[in-house]
Amino acid sequence: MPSTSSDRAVDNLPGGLKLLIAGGFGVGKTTLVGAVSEIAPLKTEATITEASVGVDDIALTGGKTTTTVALDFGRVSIANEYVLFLFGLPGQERFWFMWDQLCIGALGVIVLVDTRRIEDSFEAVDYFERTGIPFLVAVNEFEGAQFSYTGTEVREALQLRPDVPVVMCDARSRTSAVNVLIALVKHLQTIDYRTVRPAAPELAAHEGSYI
Amino acid sequence: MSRGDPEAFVDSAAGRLIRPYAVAGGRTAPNEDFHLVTYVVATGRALGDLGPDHDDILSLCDRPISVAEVSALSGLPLAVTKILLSDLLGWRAIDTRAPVPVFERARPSTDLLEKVLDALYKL
Repeated sequence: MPSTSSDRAVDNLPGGLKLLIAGGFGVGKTTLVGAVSEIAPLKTEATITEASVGVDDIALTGGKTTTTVALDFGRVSIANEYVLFLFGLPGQERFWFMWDQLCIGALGVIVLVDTRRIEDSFEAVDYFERTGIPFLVAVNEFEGAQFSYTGTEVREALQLRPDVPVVMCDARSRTSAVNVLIALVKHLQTIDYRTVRPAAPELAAHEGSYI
Repeated sequence: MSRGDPEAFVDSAAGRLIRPYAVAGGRTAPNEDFHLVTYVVATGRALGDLGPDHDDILSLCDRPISVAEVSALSGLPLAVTKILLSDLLGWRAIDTRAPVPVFERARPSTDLLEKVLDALYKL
């Protein structure tokens, strides 16, 4: 018997939203997720078949080697209506091909930067400038960092476009981490999507086979 | 080590050997019904014997839950989770809600961004 529209659980499902956190290995992505998430960060696995080139029939290669890539994520409920998910992107270079899939449907990206290894962020910045996904740069100010830079210096080092915000943060601090998210959403409210988002993912695109 | 050497794949760089697709009956096709942040919930429709993996996933759907969380809590890789959820959807054991659409070259709705900001300010 069909249920009435008012008592169906599906009508109470929240709308999922997605933000991504990019940055080099060990820059504090999961720390940032944990600082704002209403649940302890969860870990899910994407699987990459490493020996699959030219192999179509998986039944014939039952022992095919796959590598798992962990994705850490957390969530923030938005007024019982939406749930905002924060995903840490795998930082290692060999997983960049997954970013295209993870970016589908993302509102925006936080590129987390460690000023001791600023060069780790060059390619992430380049990637998001090319794909047109809105992003900002958050400088994680590690305690005892040997080199401390101003936002302006980081902007110059990364050769950021003027419209890309740079904010300083302490990824361990909830207040600080929340302020990074606020800065990103405010950025989303002001940027010109006609020019900033030339190659954004299409609405109906599916995520692909890895995730 | 050459790429043709079977031992080449059994090292720390290659990761562990797993066969997640055995769980999914050998299916590997991407599924268009599910994104990471698609929400799912059980419909309560009674089904017969589903097998342990479908059972585990369906029990996680007793309350509204995202695909990413189903994967994390079941311990199954995302691609496998999506395939099993697709089965459950086909059997009408779950309902889904697609993620909030993010359109190409278009600002998300003003109302949506305001609601997100309001929620963040309250954190």
